[in-house]
Amino acid sequence: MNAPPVLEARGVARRFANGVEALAPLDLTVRAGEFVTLLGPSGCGKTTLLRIFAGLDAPTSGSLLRRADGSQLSYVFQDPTLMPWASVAKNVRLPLDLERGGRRAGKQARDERVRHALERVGLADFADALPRELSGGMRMRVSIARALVTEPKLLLMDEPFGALDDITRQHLDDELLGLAANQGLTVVFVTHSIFEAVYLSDRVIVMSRRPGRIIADIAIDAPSRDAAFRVSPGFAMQAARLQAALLEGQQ
Amino acid sequence: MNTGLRLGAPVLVALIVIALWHGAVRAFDVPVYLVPSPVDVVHALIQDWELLSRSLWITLEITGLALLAATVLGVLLAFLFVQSRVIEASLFPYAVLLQVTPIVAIAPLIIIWVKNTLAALTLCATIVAIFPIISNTVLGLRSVDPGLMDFFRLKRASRWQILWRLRIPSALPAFFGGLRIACGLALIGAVVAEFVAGTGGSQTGLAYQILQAGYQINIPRLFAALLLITLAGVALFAAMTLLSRVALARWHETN
Repeated sequence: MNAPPVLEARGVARRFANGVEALAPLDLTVRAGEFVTLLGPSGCGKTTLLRIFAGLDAPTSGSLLRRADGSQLSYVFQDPTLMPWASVAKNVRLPLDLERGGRRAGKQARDERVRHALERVGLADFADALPRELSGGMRMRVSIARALVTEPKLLLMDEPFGALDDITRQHLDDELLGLAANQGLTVVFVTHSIFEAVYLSDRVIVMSRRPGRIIADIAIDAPSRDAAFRVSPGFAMQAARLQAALLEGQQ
Repeated sequence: MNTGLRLGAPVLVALIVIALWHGAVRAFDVPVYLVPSPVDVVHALIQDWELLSRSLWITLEITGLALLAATVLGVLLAFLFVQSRVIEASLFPYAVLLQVTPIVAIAPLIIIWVKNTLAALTLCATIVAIFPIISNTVLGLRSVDPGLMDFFRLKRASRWQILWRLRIPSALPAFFGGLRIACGLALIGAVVAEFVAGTGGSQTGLAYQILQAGYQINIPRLFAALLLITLAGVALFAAMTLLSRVALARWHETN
């Protein structure tokens, strides 16, 4: 991999005010176009690391270099976090509406980009619906459309499909892979599902329980990412490797 | 529950109570100066309508002005409180103090200090009605989804954008809850202040009519005035509920 790095963490550690050590010093480089998954047990600091990547949290020590500014970065939360009082279209338009000064596009241009983003997640017909009128999976897709509408380079996702059923989840996994490939996105994805990690990622970073350290950095080899891959021996073998690494981290 | 039942059931209860009341008054031959029959009350209502409607209008005027003042002042104070914890910590106890001091105890002072009777009565009713607006609006402005707040911070939203696009819409359900409590309190405050003021002349509300009717042992008129106060309270509550529904119906679960 010779693509330029988008994220470079050097000795990044985080200790909370209450004394809990969330992250032990760790080094991690994410290069442009990579799909990197942070895998680890609940409470291992995956979300903390992702928030540090986003600038929502700051490391207590170490340095972080991010080659993507606020407008090139999008974050998808664990929950859809939509405004319940606003329509789907207005929710997706929010990041464009919040831009200030010369960067803010005209209303027509913004609406056009919203329409485009909704088409990409297959919700073009639901622009005027309210979040409460949608299913859980559809709300998550709105949240993803809101992340994509700014045409980011870097997409940070915190267990975005954790609350969904398996069928919806697999469907959204496929949509995400398609989008990432089409847009040339760099993705950092947090999950505690081994299977989702294997299915989606170029690289899986296995983390130990608290304080989070990197135990293994495993490249995933996938001939194609489709239903056949999910049931192939190669898939099972790589899942077993991740499982072993996770167990090692529990010691 | 369907609308027919929700409207029909209480009306049926009212009819039964009125029928029982009428029957009991007739059966036991209760004198009209103790308990008038519903027919006597309606008769008084029609006969004294000119007097009573003028008083009703004055009471409603005080209630409306007080509700308006309580809403505007309450919301402004709530905005002030959420600006900083220091401001809230310094001022909130005094809002509570205002709330727990019985209005009958301070109304005489206010009526002495404020020359204009209408202004004095409005001030009393405002003091009674303002607390639920302040406390509910503060609660609402603070009850912002932390995930959405993170999103706004991530997008480097200004303080103004956060207030306008996030805090105010988030506060609306709690604000309307406060408004519904406040409209009843404004009416109570207006009536209590009128009792304390007890002024004669032309500017007299329903409470004064109740006092006068009591002195004159005109019990049917007393009942008629009481009925008007009750109906005004119900109408106000219904109006606020409707307003909150119009504003929130599409997105808020409880409506």
